[in-house]
Amino acid sequence: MSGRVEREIQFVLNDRVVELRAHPATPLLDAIRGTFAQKATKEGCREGDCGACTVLLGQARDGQMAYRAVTSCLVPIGDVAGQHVVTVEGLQGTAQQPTPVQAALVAELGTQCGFCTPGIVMALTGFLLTAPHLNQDEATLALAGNICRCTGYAPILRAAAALVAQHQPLAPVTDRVPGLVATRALPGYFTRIPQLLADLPPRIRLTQLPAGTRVVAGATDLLVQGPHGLLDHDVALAGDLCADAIELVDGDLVIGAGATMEALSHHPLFLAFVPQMPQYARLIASQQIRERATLAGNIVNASPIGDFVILLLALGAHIRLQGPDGMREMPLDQFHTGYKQMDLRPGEWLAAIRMPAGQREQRVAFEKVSKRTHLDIASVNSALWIQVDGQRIVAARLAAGGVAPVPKFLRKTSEALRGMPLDNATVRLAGELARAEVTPISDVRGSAVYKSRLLERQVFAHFQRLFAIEEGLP
Amino acid sequence: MKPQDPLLHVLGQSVYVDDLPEPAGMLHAAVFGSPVAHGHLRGLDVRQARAIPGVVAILTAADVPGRNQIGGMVQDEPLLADGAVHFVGQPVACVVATSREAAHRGVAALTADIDELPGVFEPREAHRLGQLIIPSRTMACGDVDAALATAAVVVRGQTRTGSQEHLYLETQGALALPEEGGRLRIVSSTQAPTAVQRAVAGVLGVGMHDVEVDVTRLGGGFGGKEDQATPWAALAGLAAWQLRAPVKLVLSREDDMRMTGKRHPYDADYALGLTADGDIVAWQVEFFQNAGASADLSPAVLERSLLHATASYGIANVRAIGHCCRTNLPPFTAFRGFGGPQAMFVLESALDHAARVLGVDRSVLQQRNLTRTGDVQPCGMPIRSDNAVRTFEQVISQFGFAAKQQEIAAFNAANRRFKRGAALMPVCFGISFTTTFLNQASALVHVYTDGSIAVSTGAVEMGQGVNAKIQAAVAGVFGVADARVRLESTSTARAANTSPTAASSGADLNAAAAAQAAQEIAQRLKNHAAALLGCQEAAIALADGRVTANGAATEWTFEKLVQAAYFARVSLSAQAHYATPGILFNRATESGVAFAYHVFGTALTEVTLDALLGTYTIDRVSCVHDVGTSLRRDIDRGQVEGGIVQGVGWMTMEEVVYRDGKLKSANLGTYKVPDILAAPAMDVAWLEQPNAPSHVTGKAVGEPPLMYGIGAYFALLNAIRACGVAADGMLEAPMTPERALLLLCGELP
Repeated sequence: MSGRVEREIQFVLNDRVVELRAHPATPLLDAIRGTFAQKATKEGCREGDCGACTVLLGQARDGQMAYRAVTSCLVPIGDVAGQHVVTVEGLQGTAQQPTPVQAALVAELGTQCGFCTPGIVMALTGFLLTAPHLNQDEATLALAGNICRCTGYAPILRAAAALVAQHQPLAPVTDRVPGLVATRALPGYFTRIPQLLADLPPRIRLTQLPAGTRVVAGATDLLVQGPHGLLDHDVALAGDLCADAIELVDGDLVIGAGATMEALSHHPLFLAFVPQMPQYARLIASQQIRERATLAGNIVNASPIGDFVILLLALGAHIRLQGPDGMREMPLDQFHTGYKQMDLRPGEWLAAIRMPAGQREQRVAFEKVSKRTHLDIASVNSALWIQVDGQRIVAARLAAGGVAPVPKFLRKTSEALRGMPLDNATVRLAGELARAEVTPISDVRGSAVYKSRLLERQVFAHFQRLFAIEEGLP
Repeated sequence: MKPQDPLLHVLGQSVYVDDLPEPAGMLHAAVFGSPVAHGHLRGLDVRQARAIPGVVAILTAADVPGRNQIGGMVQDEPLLADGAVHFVGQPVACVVATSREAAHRGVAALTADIDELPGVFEPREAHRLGQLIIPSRTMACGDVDAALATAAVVVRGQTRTGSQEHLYLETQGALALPEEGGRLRIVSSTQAPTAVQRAVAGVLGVGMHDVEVDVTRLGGGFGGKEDQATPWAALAGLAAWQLRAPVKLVLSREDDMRMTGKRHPYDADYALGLTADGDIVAWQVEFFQNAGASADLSPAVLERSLLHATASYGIANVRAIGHCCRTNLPPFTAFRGFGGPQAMFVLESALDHAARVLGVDRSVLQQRNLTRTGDVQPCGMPIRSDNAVRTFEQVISQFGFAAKQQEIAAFNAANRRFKRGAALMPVCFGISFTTTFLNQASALVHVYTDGSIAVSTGAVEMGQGVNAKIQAAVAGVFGVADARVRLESTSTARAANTSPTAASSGADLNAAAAAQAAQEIAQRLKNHAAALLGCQEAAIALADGRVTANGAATEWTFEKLVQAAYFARVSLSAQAHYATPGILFNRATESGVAFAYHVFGTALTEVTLDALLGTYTIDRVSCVHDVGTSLRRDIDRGQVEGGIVQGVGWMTMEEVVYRDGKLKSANLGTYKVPDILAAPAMDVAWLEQPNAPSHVTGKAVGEPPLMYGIGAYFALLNAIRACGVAADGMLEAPMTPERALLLLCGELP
């Protein structure tokens, strides 16, 4: 059915260059298991939620290889062109000589039914390869995108602890391959990968969007909706269109729309706006997803419950739309016009996000509550940006998700806070106003009653976090 | 020596159904399920679907050559809907195509003509309407009415527990391969190969010997593939039979979640009578089991609820009533614990209620009433140990329960936003199929001339380590290294008439049968060795790969002896059958010795609640578990830890949401199970001085630990009450963050 534009795609799969002709939105998982008949990588959910299909994706950047663990079910094959894909087969462990990760999992019985195990092996290998610090906390976070239904995780954590102990000290992230080759955590061919990639053709760049083309920026939600929606269209990938640079331009922070959530979450220029971003990032998604999800996708996907978009709304971000007639800019809080509706004209794409310099170095708080704390979609999320002068509020911006058809900037509440004293009465009022400004519906993420109350409580929590005002406590 | 499977798993070499090499000409099947919960099925419009490139056939009830019936306990479940549909997702048609994508596109293009009827989704409503799958059952002892009438304290109330999705990581699936002479070979991801074989033979109208079902391993089962692997294997078998081609049917995650049954939701009414001192004198409970649209295993699940109505407590006057209520939801099915967890939740809730009335800690009432030697359960089965008391006391001492309670009280007094809570949860769980005839197993052992050994049993490996336990048992008999023993796949051609691998009994039954077969061969080998060495057979022993006589080494290795025996025409193969002795449960009188033994244990759960947001963490679960003299404590520990986290999930975040019969939590985006950050820290201790029955594998360990998870619910309740909230309404699980916040805010409807 996908008589749509296919592409020749070349990449390195484990130790060899491979080529296939495919629609660029074809999930990488299907190419691995189907076209290349490598069955170690498992399909557990096809929505990035179980991690059984985790593979490593390596990219040459400034002469260095940068690897990341990703869920291959949500990676459009077009995005791996020119990159290195590593599956369990590519680790080249054997029964006589398993890799240290494999050996540790066996020793601790960190595998029972085995179906999640290839994903766990890859996540832990990715941890050794990419974690800035090799400690138990980082190992746990690296595994936060992998569901194991059998073990209760305890033996997997024991295996991780053993690996952490074995691999101290380890070289800096930029130069870790040789050390891991030496411990056989990685096979020797890893040192030859940059050479293999250098010989692959460069990626195409689009300057215009052909009519009828869907833009896919990361696909961590679009592929969850099922690949057919994409395979029946011509698509352009974010990497074909947008930059992913994060840079200062005239004092403002300009974020290329292709930037991933993970890149932004740890970028010093963004941390100047949201110092707690690494902690918030954990709530937003697993590392596998954050490595793929883009800001542009989070905004244009127009989900009323996007996490990053809520934060950007509170931060007063502007967006830049590139179209046939050039670039235009607008405040993000005017972009979403209704459920999955937005002010996006034919041929336009979201090219960048601009954070005005004045928004920096104020206080920002983000809250998200979901059934499961991590890697879940919020029942309600919210963010508060606030500028104070002593005990008085100078300016505030409150945004909330899951409580309206759009990611909601709570304009009335935000305006009402201006000039108010920082005290319990103000906090209480903010909670009341916020509840009055939203229209939550009952769904699988919670009843309307709950969401309304939860929003109020999150408003209280923002003020507690930022100013230790204890409103709403027993 | 580690078992073989883990190594294959980490190398990515373990093969599951969807990983099998695809034979030339293999077709893919996908299933069209009913879009409505209840209605008359008038017809199916297949025109658009047929036009989709790659679609080869669309099979309906009319294409079934034999009986369109796959019901196990009760013959009330058609393979493909015929004239009526009874739940959303009920298989109506099977689309077969040249690719998985084409099959799914074919399904999407089908439309059914259905006259919709009102649906019933709540068990109490089904009970009121008389929609029962089997006549209601009562298990009773003593005089509960008199005891309730004279009890100093009587509490009455209702409880509700939700469903739970198995979420085995490998979805349901089967590959059907036509062979010569009309034989069909089916590789199925099932816990019950014989059930699949019987159903497929019935559907095709052939003999069971015309169908071989073969299982290498499952990517998780948890009960979800005991009865509910059958439809998919039968549909693949039907398609392969009709089209004379290999057919693979692997459910997508969403189809799996929508079409298959899960843990039974239960509603219950209770009345608990106690003395003023807190001794239980009467317990009356009425279970309203939501069975879904067909029987599946529901009557057996209900039976286990009745047999666990008294949980871990000794109670003289009991009346437990069970209603198996037919609703328009997918047939609910076996799930680790099998009705036991639901029953235990009710009594633990009643104890919570009584503790509030009496003004004591719930743990006081728990401890006073634990069952002990000499107690007789309502079915008449005697309790044969004091391990309930012993594990309870060991938890209190080993994990410092009293000190912990003080520490928590001090924390709660000093903190406004965060409150901690703790709870104890004793477990007493009966081991055996309550359907007595299922407590049998057979094994086939071959010793090859090089001394390597192959074992076939009816046990299915699904991560629980049953193969490693059987391997250890057989290796022990021959006195060889575990690695000399290979566990073959589970095939109906090698082990016939097998019971499902379920009820925590897989290792108990199959390792016993395998050890018995091994002993027969070992005996022949010893006899032969005695003749060769000119000594008494009783003087011969097999150990460390060698033959000893009167405790002294001989020049004979195991391999050499095997070869010599072969040339002497001694049989090196044996088949054995094992039936659990001493059990007999009589359904007519609701009495008997239902179980071979009970497994006991107690867990202490600690939690922290965010009183502002209603969110929480399950911080730690510490347990003392009674596992007997296990050969593989490492495997047992994995079962305990995994069971705890699954039980915690059931009680906290795992919420199955149906609206008008449609599953709203039909993917992993909307149904959440514990991840690594949600899993509690766990301390697993073993009961000191276990007094286990003499089984080769120790006590069964699969299901009991799941029920420790119930402690998380009551620990959270304690933390909520530490905020000054009464929380004295009906107790309903799971305790999602929503439920917690609405309780905190007094906003529960």
